[in-house]
Amino acid sequence: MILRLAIASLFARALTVGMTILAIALSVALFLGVEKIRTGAKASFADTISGTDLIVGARSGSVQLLLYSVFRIGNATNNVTWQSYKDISARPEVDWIVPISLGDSHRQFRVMGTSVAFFEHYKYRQGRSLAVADGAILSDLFDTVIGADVAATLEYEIGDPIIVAHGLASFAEHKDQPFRVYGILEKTGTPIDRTVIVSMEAIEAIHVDWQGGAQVQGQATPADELRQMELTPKAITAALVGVKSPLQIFRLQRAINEYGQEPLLAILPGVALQELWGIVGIAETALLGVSFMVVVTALIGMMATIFSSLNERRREMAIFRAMGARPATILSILVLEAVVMAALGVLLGLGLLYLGLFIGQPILDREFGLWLAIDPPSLREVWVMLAVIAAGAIVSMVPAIRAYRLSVADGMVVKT
Amino acid sequence: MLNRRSTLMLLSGALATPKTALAATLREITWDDLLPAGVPYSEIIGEGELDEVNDTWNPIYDENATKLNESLDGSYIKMPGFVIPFDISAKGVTEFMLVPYTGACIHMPPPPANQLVMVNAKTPWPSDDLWDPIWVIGMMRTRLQSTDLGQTGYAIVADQMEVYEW
Repeated sequence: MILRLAIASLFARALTVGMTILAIALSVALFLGVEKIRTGAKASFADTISGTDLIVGARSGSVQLLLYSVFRIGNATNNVTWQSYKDISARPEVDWIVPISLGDSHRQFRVMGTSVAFFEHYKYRQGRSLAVADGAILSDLFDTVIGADVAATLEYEIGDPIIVAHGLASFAEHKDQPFRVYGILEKTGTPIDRTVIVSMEAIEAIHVDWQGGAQVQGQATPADELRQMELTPKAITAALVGVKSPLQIFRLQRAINEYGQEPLLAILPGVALQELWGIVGIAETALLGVSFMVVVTALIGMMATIFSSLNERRREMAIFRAMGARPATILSILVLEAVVMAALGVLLGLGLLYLGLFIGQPILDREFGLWLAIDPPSLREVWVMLAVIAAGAIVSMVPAIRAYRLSVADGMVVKT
Repeated sequence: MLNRRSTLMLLSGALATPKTALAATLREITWDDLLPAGVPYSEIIGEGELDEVNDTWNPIYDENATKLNESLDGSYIKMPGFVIPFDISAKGVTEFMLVPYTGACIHMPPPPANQLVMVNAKTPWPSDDLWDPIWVIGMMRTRLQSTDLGQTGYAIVADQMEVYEW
């Protein structure tokens, strides 16, 4: 009975009520959306590397090494000499080691030189391996394997030629040595999607006739001759290392960090990731704080609407009272109205969120490499939504108690 | 000499033990307990040598560093420590090394093998902060790895983890 009254009363003031509901809906959608992006960003970072015990690079910072070697963000401060790489591979603790060489690009995508072992040892999302969607992994010196995004953006197919450019964004192309697309990887949701993978030797080969960032005039070693050459790299950018026993990780890490011939840095990817959270966490909290404020603002807006409606509903309340409604009934009608408004707002907000996710998901993925899963709301999100409804009830208590206190006479007396 | 009364008591005792055993099996231990009896904590690190070029001290672990307290094998324990994550997923840390002090890996020599506990978490631990200690509750195993290098150590399959309150 009271519920019917409350709903009918809301319908009677459809416009203002609608606006209030919309305000709550937008704030809830914003809050949940921020939460989604936060967890989504974290997930795509955390799922990018798995199963690698140590990352080795030139001495810089652990977060920086992680960013440039795994996420292709930023640039290496220095290289690691081939001698150091060989020394590390020879250590008894090392189970496997994969070199990585960065520094060249193809259009907007980075080129990574590595060994075939990369495809075997690089794991993402809790131990998943890279899979070839089309073609096969590297076999010839001038083969490339490209990530799913590279193939999609540049519309490449197996056998298409690729010209690698010198530098990370560049017009100085290695035109003399064209590559061909030999394999296209399945989508992983990691930076691999936006990487062109070539062999370590190929990186060396395209720089054979180059000096000081430009091709030496008139000098071009034919491809067949390059295939015969011994193309030992002089330096690499970083290396991924797997250790035989987890108990040896710290020992190997220390040995690399204390390596006398060259300043090197070995990091545990998990530790570096957590350090990264430490930095990003502040911005996350700020973002969450702002969206929390928006929810509070919307609730206070609802309180204001109920307050102002009290005045115009003075007669209505008085008639209820005259017909025998107790003050408690008036109170419950007002609180119930607020709860219905908040609940509708939350539901509409949820709808807006999923609509937004549905539209935004492919765009975010394409533009920022951020994959947001469309899941049913998590337990945490359900709690947030219930909290908003509860807060709506509590906030509406303030005007409701005021209405409770008003006497019957208040609405009956004609005021001039 | 067994009379009827004592036999009954023994029987009831035998019946009761599973219950009491369950309650008693949760053994709260600290890092000292990982050393076998008779090995003082101060003697787990050998002589070591001073690296004058890098100005650091490199310990040489003797056999005391790999001696394990075999009585812990198979017991259900609760112990505090810091998390050095090895495998992180979106939900949290699934595989990590429990260490007695954190920051150990970079500025100081790593702890010896019998001061490291490899932990596999049944449910990922949503740890965001390296500097927060935790309690790990689970089944302890000794002789974690016997590779060609002969390394041994402790491992726990963690049923439960809690935030350690200082």
